[in-house]
Parts: sequence; C-alpha cells; structure tokens
Amino acid sequence: MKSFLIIGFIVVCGALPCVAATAPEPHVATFFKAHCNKCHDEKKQKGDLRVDNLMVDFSSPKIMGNWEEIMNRINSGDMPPEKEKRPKPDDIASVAEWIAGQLREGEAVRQASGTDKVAFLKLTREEYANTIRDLLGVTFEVKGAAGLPEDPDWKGFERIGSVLTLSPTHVEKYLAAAEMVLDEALSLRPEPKRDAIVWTAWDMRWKGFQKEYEARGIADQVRIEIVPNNYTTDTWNLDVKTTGDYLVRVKLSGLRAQGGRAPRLKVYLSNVDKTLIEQDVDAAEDKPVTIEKRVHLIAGKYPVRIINSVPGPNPEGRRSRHSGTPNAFTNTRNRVPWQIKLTDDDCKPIQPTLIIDRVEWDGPIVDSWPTAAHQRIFASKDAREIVSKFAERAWRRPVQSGEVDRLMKLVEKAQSLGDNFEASVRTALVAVLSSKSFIYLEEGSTKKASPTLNDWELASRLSYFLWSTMPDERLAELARTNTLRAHLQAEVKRMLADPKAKAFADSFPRQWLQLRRVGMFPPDKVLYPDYDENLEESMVAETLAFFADVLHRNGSLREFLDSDWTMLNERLATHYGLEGVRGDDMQRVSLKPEDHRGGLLTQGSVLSLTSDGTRHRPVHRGVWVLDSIIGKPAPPPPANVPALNTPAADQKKTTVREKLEQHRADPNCNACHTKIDPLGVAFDNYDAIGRWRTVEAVKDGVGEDPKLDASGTLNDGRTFKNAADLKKLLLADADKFASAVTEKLATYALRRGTTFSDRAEMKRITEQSKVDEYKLASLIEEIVTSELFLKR
Amino acid sequence: MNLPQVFSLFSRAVLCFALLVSVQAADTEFPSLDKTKRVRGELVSADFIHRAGQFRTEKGELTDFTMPPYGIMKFQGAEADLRDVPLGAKLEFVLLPDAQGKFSRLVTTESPGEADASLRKKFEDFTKARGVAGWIDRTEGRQVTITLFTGDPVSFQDRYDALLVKGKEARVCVANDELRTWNPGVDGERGSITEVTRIPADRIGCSGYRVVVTVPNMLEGYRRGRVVRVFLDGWKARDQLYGESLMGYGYGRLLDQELVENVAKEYPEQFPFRTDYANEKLPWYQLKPGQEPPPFSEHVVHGALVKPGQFLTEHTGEAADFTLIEKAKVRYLGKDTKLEDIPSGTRCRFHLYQDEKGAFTRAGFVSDDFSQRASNSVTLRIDALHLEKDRVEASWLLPEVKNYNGDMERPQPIGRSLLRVTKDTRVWKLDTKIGIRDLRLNDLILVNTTAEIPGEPAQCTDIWVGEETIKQVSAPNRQAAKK
Repeated sequence: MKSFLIIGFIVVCGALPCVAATAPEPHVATFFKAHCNKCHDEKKQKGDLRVDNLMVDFSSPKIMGNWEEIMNRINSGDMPPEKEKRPKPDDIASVAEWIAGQLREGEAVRQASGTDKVAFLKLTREEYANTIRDLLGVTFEVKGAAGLPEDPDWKGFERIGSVLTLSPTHVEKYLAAAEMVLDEALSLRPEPKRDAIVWTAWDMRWKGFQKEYEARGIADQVRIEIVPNNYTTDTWNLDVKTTGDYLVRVKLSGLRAQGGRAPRLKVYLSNVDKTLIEQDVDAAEDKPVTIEKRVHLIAGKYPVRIINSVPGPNPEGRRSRHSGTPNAFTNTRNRVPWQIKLTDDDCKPIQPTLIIDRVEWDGPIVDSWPTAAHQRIFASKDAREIVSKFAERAWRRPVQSGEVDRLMKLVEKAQSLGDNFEASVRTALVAVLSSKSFIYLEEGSTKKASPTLNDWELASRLSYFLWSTMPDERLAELARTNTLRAHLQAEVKRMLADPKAKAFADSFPRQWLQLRRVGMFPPDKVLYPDYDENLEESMVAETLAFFADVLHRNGSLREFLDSDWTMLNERLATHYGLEGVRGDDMQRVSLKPEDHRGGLLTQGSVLSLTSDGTRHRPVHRGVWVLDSIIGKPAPPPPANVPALNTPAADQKKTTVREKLEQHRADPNCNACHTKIDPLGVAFDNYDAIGRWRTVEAVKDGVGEDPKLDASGTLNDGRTFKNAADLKKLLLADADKFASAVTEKLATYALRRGTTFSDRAEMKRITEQSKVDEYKLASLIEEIVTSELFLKR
Repeated sequence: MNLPQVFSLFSRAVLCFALLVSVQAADTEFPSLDKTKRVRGELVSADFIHRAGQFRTEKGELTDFTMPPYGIMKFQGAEADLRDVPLGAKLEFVLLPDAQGKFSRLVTTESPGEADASLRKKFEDFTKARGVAGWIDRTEGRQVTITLFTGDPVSFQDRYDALLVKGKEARVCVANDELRTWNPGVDGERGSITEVTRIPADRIGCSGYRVVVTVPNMLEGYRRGRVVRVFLDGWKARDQLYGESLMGYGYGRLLDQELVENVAKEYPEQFPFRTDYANEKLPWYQLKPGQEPPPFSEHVVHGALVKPGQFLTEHTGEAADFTLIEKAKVRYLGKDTKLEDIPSGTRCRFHLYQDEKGAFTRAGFVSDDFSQRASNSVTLRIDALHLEKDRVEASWLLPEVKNYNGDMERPQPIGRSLLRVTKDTRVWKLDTKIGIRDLRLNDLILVNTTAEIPGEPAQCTDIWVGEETIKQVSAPNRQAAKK
C-alpha cells in the first residue's frame, strides 16, 4: 500500500520574491572609495570582485555572498592589504554593521513568502505531535527512535518556514508515523488487555535469596536501596507488548540527610534516551509513598534504569554492589560493611538514598473501546464522508472534491485487495496524514494570489502561534463561517486562558532566549561539581515559569528586565543561596536587592547559556543581550580571532575582563567590542553557572584571586556600576526592549524574520504597547489583531 | 596429659554460640585484668580463621575458646598469632566470661621466656600483611576515630610510633569480629591521619594510641564499635589468604561453607528468630509443616550417637532423645544414609529444632565428622606423629584453587589439631586395613571419632588414609565401609 501513499507528498522549494536592487548607504560608498575601489573597480577587478558599483540585491545569492565576504575581510583586517592605509576602526565597524544588517534583512526577505502563490510552512516536530494528539488522542513521541529529526533553528527560532526543509528521511518517518498513530488510535485490533507488570525487590535484585527469605519469614520486608549517582548499575528489562499509555507506579522511600538534598528518582529508558519520571522524593524509611505517572510506551524492549540522580559519593560501581551472601536489604542498619555508608551511627541518613519496594507498569490504559477517535471517525458508514471529514480536520481547511476522489481511490484499491471496510478506510487516513496539507501549514492558493490570509489560514496561524497545535472546534467553526476576524481579540483571550497556551508559554521563551543552548557545553565536573541535570532543568524551568507568570497576569515586559520576585524550586534556590524553598515545584519567591536576582538577565539559564563549560564569557553575554534584549544583533566575529592570553605562571592573576581589555587594545577589535563587552562584563559577578561572586577564581598566575569589576560605559556614554545598575539603564529604555520583544514575537508568530516592510506596523504595535504599560498578553493581542498578522 | 584432642571444624558453631556477647559490640571499652581468670593448660586445637580453639586444662578438662577482636596471644614472651603457637604448648590462658558466664573468651596467653626476636619479627610481618586491628570509637563527617589493639603496648610504640603521626597515610579496611577483611583492595579507604592522641594503655588489648583518620568516603563498616584493620604508611594493602578473606577475588567461590561470611552473625536483624550467633532475646525458629527450615534456624549440638533416636551430649555426657523431622538428612561417610547405618559411639553433628514443649528433640540433620569435612572439601594432613604419646598432629587443608595467575595453588592451612589414637583405632588404605604405624608424615586423612564425654576423652575410631581412599569410601554406590 505504501507505494501509492507517497503521492500526497510535494517537496517545496520557495522561490525568492522579486525585490529591486538598492545602492549602499553613502558612508559605505565613501569607505569603498577611500579603501577598496583602487583595486576593485571596473579596471582592476582584483579577485574577480568589483565594489565600485556593487548593489544590494537580496534575490542574488552571489551578490549577497560578495557582501558577506567583504564584511569578513574588512572585519578581520585582511582588507585593505597591509601596504595600504588602514581605515579607522570606527569606520570598519560602521561598514561591517551596515553590511550585517543587510544580510539579515536579505535572509528575512527570503523567508517572507507573501509573493509566492502558496507558502508551505512545515510543522515543527512538537507541533506535529500536538496535532496528532488533538486529532487522534494518541501520543506521538517525537524524540524516540520512531520520532522525527530535530528541527533546525534560525537565530534560536525553530519554526521558520524556509529553514524547515524536508528530506527523504522525513518522508519515511512521516509515513511510518502515520501508520503507527492510526494503529494506536483506531480499534482495528483485539481490545488490548490491561495488565500490570510488577517488579518486586525480588525481581529487581534479590531473586536468588527469595526462597530463603520466605523460609525466614521476612520476605515481605525486602527492598532495594539506590545510592546516589548510580547511573549504570541498576537496570532492568521491560518488555512492552502493546503500544499505549501506561501508569508507572513506584513505591519507595527517599531519605534526606539533615540540611542536604532530597534523593531524586529518575526512571529512564536508556535505549531510547527517554526519562519517564524525574522528581525529588522525601519519605521516611518506614513511611514509603507511591509515585504514579501516566506515560506513553511503544511496544518493544527497554532497559529501564532506576537512577538516584542526585550527586553523591559513588566512586566505584562496586561500592554500591551487593555481596553474594544472602543478606538482602531490609533496612539501612543491615548493609554490607564495604558499601558506601548511608546512615550515621545513630541511623540518621547521611546520603540522599532511595529505597524501592516495587515498580508497576499498569496498562495499556484504554479509556474506551472502541477508542474515542475510532468512534468519531467511524461515526458514519459512508467511506467518502468519513474520509472527507477526517481530511478537513487534519488539513485544517475545506477539502476539495477532487482531493476526496483521490483518497477514495485508495479505499477502493484496498477493498479490491481484500481489506475490510475499516481497514480500507484506514488506508486513506494514512494518506491524509502523509499529505503536504497535514505536514505543512498552507497559506495562499494556486488559483488566486492573495495578500491576506483567509479565515482557515488565520485560524491555523493563530492556533499554531498560541497553542502549537491545530485549531479546535471553536476556531474551525469561526473559520467555516468566515467570522474569525471579528472575534480575534476575544479568541486570543480565550486561547491564552486555555491550558494549551502552555505550549506558547514554554516554546516562545525557549526560542526567544535561545534556552536550547543551556547545557550545550556541559560545565566542567571538576570546576563545577555542584552542576547536575536537575540544576540545569531547574534553571530552564525558572525562566519558563517566570515567563508564564507574567503572561498569565498580563504583567509588564518591564518585569523581564528587573523584578522583585522570581520562580524557584529547592534545587535552584539552594544554588542561588536562598533559603526556605522546599520541593521540586517552581514557586514564586520574593527577592531582596542583596539576593542579586530579578528579571531574566540574572537567571541561571541565561547566565549559563552564555558561558562555556569552563568560564563565563562576557562577550557571549554581551552578544546575547544585544540580540535578545536590545534587538540589535552584533556583527559576526571575524575569522581567526586570537584566544585570550593566559598570564605566565609567575604573573599576577587576571580576570577575564582584564584579558579582554588587552585583547581590545587592538583597534580593529575595539570598535565592535566597545558595544558588546560592557553588556557582558556587567554580569561578571555571576560565574559560568550563574552563581553570585565577588572575586573570580583564576587558575593561572600567582597571588589572590582578583576582585571583579562589573562596571562599564554604554556606547551612548551612560555608565553603570554593576548588573543591577545596568538593569536600571535598560528599564529606562523600555521602549527599545518592547520593540525587540515585538520583533521576536512576530518572528515566532509569522514563522519568518521581519523585514523593512513590517517595520511601520511593528513600530505602531510597540507604541501601543507603551500605552498599555508594556503588558505582555495585551501585546500579543495587539500583534494578532494587527495587519502584520493578517497579511501573508 | 596424654589426652589427644578431637578437633572439629564443626564445633565452631558451638564456639561461636558462646561468643554472642561480642557480636559487633557497640561498647568500645577495653576490659581490665581483674575481670579475668587464668587457667593453665595445653593448646590442642586452633581454628586460625575464626580465631578460636580448644585447650585441655591440667585437670584434663577440654575447654573451647574464642578470641575477642582485641585479644592477642603471647608465646614465649612475644605476641603471636594463633597459627604461630605450636599445638601442645603449655600456656596460661587468660579468659573473660561470655554471656553465659563461662570463661571462654581468650584475651591473651602467657608463657615463660624472654621475647624471641624471630617470633617478634614473625608477628610484625603478620600484622603488616593484614593491617593493625582496632575499633572505632566514633565517626563524624569523613573522620573515623580508631583505638588500635595490641598485646604489648611497649612493642607497639617501638614499631608504630613513627607511623602514627599526623599527615601520614592510613588505609582503613572494614573487618569483622574475627579481624577478617573482605578484600583490602576494595573494602577500605585510603585516608590520612589527622590527629593522634595517647591514652592510658593499662587495659587488655589497648595500644594507647587513638587516631583520627580522614577518609575520602565513609563506608558502612565505619561505625562505632566495629572493627577495622589499618594499613599504615607504606604498607601494601594486599589480598588476604584464601579462606581468610571474606570475599576472595581472583579465586573461585569458597568451597568451605564454614569460611563464608556468616550472615546470621554479621546481619542478625535479617533473622526474625534466635540463632546460635545472635538474637538471644527472640524465640527460636519453630518448625512449620511442609516448610524446609532456612539456614541458621537450627541449634547445632555435637554428641555421640548411642542408637537411632538418642545421643550423649558432648562435654556433659547427658543423654538426649530425638526424632527426625520430615525430609531430615542423615549423612555417614559422605553419603546419605539411615541412622541405623552409623556405628554406635560415633561423634555426630545434630541440627536440632524445638518441639511443641520447647525442647530440642527434632533433628533435621545428622552427620559424622567425615561427611561434614568432606562436604566442605576439608582434609587433614599429618604434620607430626607422636605415637608413643598416642597423638597425631594434623593441619586442616583446603583443596587446591586457582590463583590470580590461573595456576592451581594449595591454600595455607586454616587450622590445626591434635588427634588421639589408640590401639582400637582402625586405619584404612583403600580396601585394606593397615596399622597405625603405617601412617606417614604428610599423609592426607579423614577421621571419625568418639565424642568428648567426662572421663572419656575423644579418640579416633577410624582413619582413612589418602585421597583415593577417601574418594572410594564416599563413592555413592559403595556399601557401608568395611569393618
């Protein structure tokens, strides 16, 4: 059957819009005249390059490539050649910055597709999974072996239409996915029998001793203890016979040492890199609790690791192994003497320890049989009606009768091959899910060019903006009746109040702030022994919870720059040195100035994503602030930038800032770095994992670790003493920040970079936002109801 | 004193029973000399691994002893391990009472003589290979406070004072009450001495040195009252002898079950009933119909089987009646058999359970000495023949095992005892009955004996000579041994 299902696929190549070429700005032309034209004019054309008449033409990759090359060459000092007069560094910076702006613009223009007859914007894999969930009620695991490849990003944004391409691998994966999700969603197989796979302590560790313990009469007291940091030692095999949702139940205790961290249960499928449960557990040895979680499992075999993912001593695997003598674990007083000590002489815990009684895998959970999706799809006995209704929902638009005809041919073919009614209909459903209209958001029509979206397209744009999934019934109904435009503002309010808006509250800040980079360079274990996965996740969770809180309250964008509160769990609060926060859940915490936190800029996630695995990177931090907060991305660095100097062993220790200053003594570097660096050094009081400090720990050199200086001068001459001061300066420029956030929101919503043609409307939106006191939800409403959002 | 001693591996259980009180004592107070009793006697049996043995008093009474962790024998004025004190040595045994009030805890021995330099050297080497023993007074954070043991505080100071200095390295290995470590490569932590305190050395076993060692990781065995072995600066923490180490890497599994870590003794909370080793306050295991009793639920008693259903208890000579439980095992000459096949008077091991009235009359297992040793792969090697004194001196041997290099190697003897032979003792070589005078040094033998009854010291009834003979006798298809 598969071979003729592929017909639905169309591979799309966006044609570039036709934009007239423009001349460079006068200061650029002047620069060329002074330094370049001599060799690159009509006469000489050295290196086949002529700049005296070079225009900016976004439609020509060759010309835009030339501009990029020019920027790189003058930035790096390669050009003009050594024997020629050096241009002033400020002039170089100004020309490079102008070219960088043009290159960005060019990219955005290429993404903007309003002039194509039809634009195809591929769903991200998260959007694909959410859509499958809402369409069929089943979970599609995007990250698993049967999932989809990771989506590429463009400046942090993972949903840019022209960047999300389709490869042959995608095609195969989409086909396989369609088959798989329909298998699970439809009741075309025997009703799955719900059953519980139970792992007792005997099954997990002590099998050989069971008979003996039964004879002793204490078989029911046997448990298994899990020491900290046991990443590879405790693995058991799970054989899932039927794909579906399962309830995982773990009965266990979690011992916490006084003043220490709680043990942390992580249930992890190592072959598919999937964590089913991860949470702190606080439960006394004699008062176990049961943790339950509903998870989706695909039929197959999985090595399940039960990990205590809290740092702790486990220097060698053998220290947590068990001896061959029949002493199964019943309590912390009866451990083998050569194992790591878990309790003190008075039997109080000294290590965060998990003690597990049993693990249950209860499922598959079938909420109804036939499934709700099956009942909905097969409500009619008419194959054509079934297929067309399903296609309309899946494609998020009315279906043409010719399209239904093609789908019906599949049904007929399957029937002729002997498939029964339901199985042959299923064939068409697979085709629907493998079609471009499902996998892509389609905007425009081959029949008639249109500068604006129709209501169906608008419903999809809105739904994927705020929910990252297909429109619900209400949106579809408004689209069907052509009344969505009239209800847009109310719909935004409704949608933001819906639990599905979590997708936006999660996805937008991740992409805007480039949170995907958190942990990309895992901090050095020796330099930062406290850093662990839990901390990393908590850092990201703070930022997301912070954003969500502002969104739900319709709080002001100003809170992103500075606030007297934040969202913390125990792990992150401990990391920040704040007391009184217990548990895994993010909770609102009031901040005092001496806590040195508030707003996004001093959150652990931001401070660590701009560091590398060994130290903080002021330049990266500055670049990030310019891009994410100020909305004026720095030009890319020239090639062959020398590394910062390490002082000789007998020299005084120096801070990164001091090393950078030496580096900046080169006037070629200075021009850009005077703009970038102050925005980064302002955060020097925060180390690579975001901890507050007043001195910098330096390895090389002699003497005491140097004191940090976080003061600086902005390009416009305003000075600040430290990060708190800088936040005040940024707040004074709130309109610039609002403009940057507007642009980021627009990029996210429109799935493309913004261009000059969007500027006026964005300016209006930002000005309105100022009137609205920069309220976030109001700004979103403003964007959705603007021309920007309605046009193609 | 021409009473040759019946040694038995199997009496260890009974010996250990007397040890109840010493199990992982949380109290780290050394005893004073005025609590001890001195008894003169002759060493007749020594179990090196469990630090236990027997001596015969001048009155001819056979006394079992075990050594507390701080107990160290002295021989000819020098400290000596049990294995370096010859059988037959006439000593003054210094004993403390056990939980039952019986003087069975040997804290040291005394024998006349100037300290012999070679003996001293031997003990020094012995200690260096195993670490100085001590017990833990307290733990805090990563610090372990240890008071070290000695049998001779003056020698101790001479030997170790320079090593017991702040900043010196010390590997602290966890050990059990018998001073056995698991495997020093992994059962210890290499730390450094952070404090040394001198305390009075006027009590038995106390060296006068209390050290604080800071270790990288705390182990379960670093617990107040537990015993450790400390390898001092420059000492190599190496594997202990096969059988001595509680966890022998590089070797196969321990063939002798008596040498395996005794869970009932080491982890008493894992048993919800009283055992011969712990849990005195709990009731004994009660037999359940259809349920095979678990290991260590039995109360082990030795005695002379008089007839099926009755034996004379060793030491007291009291007659005890018993019945076999369902699925009970009876072993004689290495084979499953019936009580009727065991010759009257043979010393046997009985695994007993309480009847409804609480009396130990139900037997789940009966075995002669031959079978018991054979099942643990133990044979005896004749080290000396003193036929004029009716004595044979024998070491307890384990079979050859593979060492780290994969080569077969005979482990060091694990014990030693004096056997009493008389004109009535039968000696067998293959199918032939030979004479006592045909025994030779280094012959490998197994024996059966009578039980030790007041006025009737135990003696060998039969001696089987050579591995072939032992194999032939215990071959399953063979009829009962020829008379």
